[in-house]
Amino acid sequence: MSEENEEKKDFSETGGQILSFLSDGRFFAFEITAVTDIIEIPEITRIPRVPDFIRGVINLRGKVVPVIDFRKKLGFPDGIYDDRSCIIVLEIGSYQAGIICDRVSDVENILPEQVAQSPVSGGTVKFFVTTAKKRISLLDPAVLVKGRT
Amino acid sequence: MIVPKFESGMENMVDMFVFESGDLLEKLDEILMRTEQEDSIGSDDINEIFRTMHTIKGSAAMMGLQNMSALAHAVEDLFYIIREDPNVSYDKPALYELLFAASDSLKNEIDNIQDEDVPLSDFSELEGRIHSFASVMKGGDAAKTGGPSQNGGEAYENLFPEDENENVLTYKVIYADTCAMPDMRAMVLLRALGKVCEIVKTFPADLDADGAGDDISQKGLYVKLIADEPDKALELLKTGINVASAEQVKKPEKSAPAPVKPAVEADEQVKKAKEQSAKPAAPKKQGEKHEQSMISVKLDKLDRLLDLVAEIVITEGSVISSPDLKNVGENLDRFNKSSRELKKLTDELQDVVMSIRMVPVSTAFQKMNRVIRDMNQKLKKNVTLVFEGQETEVDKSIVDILNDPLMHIVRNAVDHGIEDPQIRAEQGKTEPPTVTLSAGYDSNEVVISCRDNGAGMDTAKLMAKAKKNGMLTKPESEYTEKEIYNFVVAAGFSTNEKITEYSGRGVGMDVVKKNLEKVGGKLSVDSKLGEGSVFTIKIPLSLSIVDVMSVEIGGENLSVPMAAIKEAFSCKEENYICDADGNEFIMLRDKCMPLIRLAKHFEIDGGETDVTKGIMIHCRQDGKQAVLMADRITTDQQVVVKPFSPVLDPYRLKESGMAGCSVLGDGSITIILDMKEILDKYV
Repeated sequence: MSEENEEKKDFSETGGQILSFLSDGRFFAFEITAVTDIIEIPEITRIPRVPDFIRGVINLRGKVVPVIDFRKKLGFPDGIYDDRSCIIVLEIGSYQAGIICDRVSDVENILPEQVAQSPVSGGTVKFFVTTAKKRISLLDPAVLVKGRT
Repeated sequence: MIVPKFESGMENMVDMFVFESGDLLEKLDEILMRTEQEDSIGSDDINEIFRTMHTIKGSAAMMGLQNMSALAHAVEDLFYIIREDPNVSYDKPALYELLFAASDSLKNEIDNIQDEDVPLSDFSELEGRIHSFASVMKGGDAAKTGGPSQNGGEAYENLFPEDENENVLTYKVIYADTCAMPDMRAMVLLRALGKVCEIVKTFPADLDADGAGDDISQKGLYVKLIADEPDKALELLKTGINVASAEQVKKPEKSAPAPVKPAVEADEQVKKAKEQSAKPAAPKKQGEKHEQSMISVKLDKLDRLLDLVAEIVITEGSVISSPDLKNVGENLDRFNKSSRELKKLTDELQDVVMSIRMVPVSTAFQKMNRVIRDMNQKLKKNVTLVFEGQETEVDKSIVDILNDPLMHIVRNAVDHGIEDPQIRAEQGKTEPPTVTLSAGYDSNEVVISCRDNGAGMDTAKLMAKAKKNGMLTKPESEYTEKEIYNFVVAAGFSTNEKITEYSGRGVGMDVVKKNLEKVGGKLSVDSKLGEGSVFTIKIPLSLSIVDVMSVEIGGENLSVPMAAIKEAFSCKEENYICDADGNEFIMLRDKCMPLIRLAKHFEIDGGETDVTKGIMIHCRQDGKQAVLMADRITTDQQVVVKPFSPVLDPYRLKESGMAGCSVLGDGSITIILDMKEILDKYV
């Protein structure tokens, strides 16, 4: 965890590229370094006896990757995922996880002065990023996927 | 800051060092054990031990592990004396005690080398004992410190030859007095130096020679080099580890005429030095006696290869049975021919890859020699260890798994199984106390058994003990002999009244059993009072590829391991029983077994609910039986089981009966059931 904390500081000091996406009309983002793939939603194999927000597993080039429904995970109302919806595949440490989102928005360059640290430490949202048009919540992939540690 | 144990730049060498040194120490143990038993040590063995210690000394020093290097050095000194004078008299048992202690200390150190939390051990006490033993051996000579090379003059001969190119710069490096192995240090230093300049020659010329270390500490190390940036080279020399000083030396105006001797030799040394500096840090090879036809490969490379082959097999399946082919229509003869060929090749590839990973179980067996030897020393039971079928080959991962269980079982056999010598004599047992380790195949399993001809187990005693510990789950009279013996491997069971160093706490065996079960292995016990006991380990041959039968439940695809399936059948109305509490049973040929509806168990909606329409699968594992109900069977196939992602860890999938998942030929994913967990819940 200590390393990730260092990374957090790094981002608010150095800025960097983020991949922003839309869910329930709001903007969220991951640091681009955490993202390995953006794919269409393939057939998802359901896994019995797991919470709702885990939609199941997908076959990503021979690897079995669990997929999380972002709306369900954050408690947003169910939306309809259409052909512009997709899965953002994240690499967290040694494993991968997919996040289903309404649609991917943009890759944006963020400067340190645009970044504000979230007052809640260890939460799903690490930073708030303010750009000319919108406010983006920058997420901590590990916390999103595995919960607070 | 974490201080690494070994020198920086050596991290990538650690694996190799651990592997090679471990291997050498293993061999050393073998020699020690054999020579101790034969009560004579030949000159070959002495040389072998000497060489082994020399190699370990060198490579440990190269890694910067001073403590290991110094200990190995002490043992090497000891054998230097024995080698020089084979008739020297010494206290043999004491010598072997020291040698085993040294070997164990080195092994321990290697085990802990990558663990930053464990500090480097201090071997000085042991070294002291070895040194004092050596001085006793040497008798009065002990006071003299003299090493083998007594030629310590003031300077090297022919340091500045007449015909030397003027671009060649000469540097003198002096090592600190505390530096234990200046020759090794020098080698490392020169290797680094080789990257910034061209080394022409060194004094002493051969750093690998016996006296090189002494020469360096007495006369310093001279390096001749051609450098574009001499400052950089000097800087590097100065910053070398343990270097006290480094400076450039100018050719004296008038040098004495050079003796002829080193010329030819020196040429060779230049080449050698160049080679050494050019080569990427390769560990010191262990001489020519290793057969060149063998290579050692990192296990994770093999794992990767196996993964790839498994994926190729799956992909091949998806190409050959691609639905697109149906639309192509008439003539697929050539395609079919090629795909058969491909299938043959991939099958063969799979076999070869699996066989690469196969190693004989003897590697695990041999380690037990040492266990027996130590226990014989302590317990005076004089047990002989016999191997049967030690050439049986198993997957490398299985051998690694076997080490711990075997150790526990062998210790138990000697400690509990074999009686004290006088008791054996009283009972008229004339045959020597023996523990037999045997290995072999049985269908798809490796069977390893440990048999002793000791006291055997008394069912009445075991029963009483089990009763006392509150382990009985049914009336005493209903227990079969086999079940009673298996109490031995249950948690918290120890029949030994007193706890010894080796066993008696009753924790070992159940841990062994659990560890084996983790990889699908089984442990069983059999015994005969007065004649001995047998502990049998069974492990599936291949840990990764599993035969499964896939079933569909409400559109979900689940797979049941074939090993657990007895039969599949359709159920008639009259064979279905539902008792007053709502428990459901199926009658199959006069046997009544619980019905497990997979749909209900896994909370899957939309599955078949009518028992006469679904498919029944009779499963059996570890003596527990039940009937599973699914909608229909889709296919039987071979799959590679992959564990679930750590993301899913919090949901305890294994405990709900899911062992992992597999990617099928068509790219879809199936979930592999863990029959043991499921049956445990219902039976």
